[in-house]
Amino acid sequence: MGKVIVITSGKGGVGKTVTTANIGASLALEGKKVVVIDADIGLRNLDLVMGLENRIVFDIVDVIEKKCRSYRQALIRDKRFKSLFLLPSSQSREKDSVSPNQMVDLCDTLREHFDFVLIDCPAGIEQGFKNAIIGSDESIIVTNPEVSSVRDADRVIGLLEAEEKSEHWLLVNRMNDGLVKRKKMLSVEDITEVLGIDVIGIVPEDENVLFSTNKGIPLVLEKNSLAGVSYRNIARKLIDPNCTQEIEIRDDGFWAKLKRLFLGDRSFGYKAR
Amino acid sequence: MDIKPGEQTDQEDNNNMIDDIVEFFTRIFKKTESDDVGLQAKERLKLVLISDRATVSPHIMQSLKEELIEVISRYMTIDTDSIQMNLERKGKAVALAANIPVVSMKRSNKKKKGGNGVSGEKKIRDNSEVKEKKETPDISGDVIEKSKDQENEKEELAQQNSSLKKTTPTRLKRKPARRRRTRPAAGRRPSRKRSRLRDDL
Repeated sequence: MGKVIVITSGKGGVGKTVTTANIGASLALEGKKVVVIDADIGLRNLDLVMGLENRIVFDIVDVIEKKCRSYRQALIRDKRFKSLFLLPSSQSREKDSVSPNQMVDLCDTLREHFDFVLIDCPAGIEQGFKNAIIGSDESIIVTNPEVSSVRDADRVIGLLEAEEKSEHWLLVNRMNDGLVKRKKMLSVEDITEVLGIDVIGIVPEDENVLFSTNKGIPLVLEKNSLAGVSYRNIARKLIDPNCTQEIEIRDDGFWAKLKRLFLGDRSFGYKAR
Repeated sequence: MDIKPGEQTDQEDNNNMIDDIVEFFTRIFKKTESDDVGLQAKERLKLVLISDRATVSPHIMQSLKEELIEVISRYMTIDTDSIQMNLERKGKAVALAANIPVVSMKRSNKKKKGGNGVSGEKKIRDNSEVKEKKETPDISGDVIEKSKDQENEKEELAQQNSSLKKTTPTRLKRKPARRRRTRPAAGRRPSRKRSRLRDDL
């Protein structure tokens, strides 16, 4: 039996879709069988971020309305990974074409065949949000270090708890340590103090996120991306909450190698948290 | 020297220049609180979340009101229908303002009875202290009970005083929230708010 994890935030544009794609890819790299579901019906995007937009035949609404033989027919396998599948959203339908009960059934079916089912939740707290969270076991709340997304995260936590979904983690996306040091930005400690939930990981602001989505290649396949490494560490933590073995970036430039030669093998790179 | 009014002397000119220089340097080196934008953000967030959480679930306010009535009416007769209670934002703080009309005072002091009975105060406290009590050996359980009663007395007295003035502005203190995982009733904003309110009662 797998876990169903919903990635949500309340506010739009904080990085839910990129997070879903990259955590999904990281879990697949760790050898887990993963399906990522785009629950944003009407605004399909996860396929584009993952670079699978040309391969869609059936979508989530077709599965629910049984227009295809089984859910397997709608799944798109990401060939760059051994065991990563996408269930795309419908672009032409509306959010109310799926009912909460149908969503629960779908989650229950997928749970039996996959280790992890990741749901990319739409922004907002309306029907689409309710559909996305209803079948989940756990949730990851994505927030940015700025006031409006933290406020929305608090509202979402309240709604999740009202639905008796109390297993949740916070993921702080687009962290800029330099700005925090200059006291110009909310720190992770500030955010956890205000929201009062546990943090599963912090993803630094990284221009590679934009580059990789432009190319349609998951960030975690890029070797020297800070954000990519953070996502991989978060995935490890999802598999084993006590995992302490973290991936680090090693600077393999000439000067870094020279320094290592004289000063011993120390990590000069950024230690992803 | 002939000086027309409005014209500056060299002396004044120098003074102005020195002022400018001093101001320039203070601007560069002085670290005021307003420079800490992160802190400002945090404080603003905290305030807005208090009122957000209160307005989102009116039943919390309702149960707070009911329990307050229970405690206060042990000491005085109050007009329960015309009680007004809400969170007000005053500059940098959020206050719980309650307007409780007193009809008459009760003469007898029923503090002890109230303390031992199932008071509103106790109901809330019980939640947090059951665990503590179980862990401590039986003998010290009594001590805890006593000190709890004393605490109750104090708080009740404070309540009495403030409600005499008819308004009870209580600063809503926010506990760095650690959410407890209790099963919330359907549709209710759960434990974390309760624990916060517990502090204030």
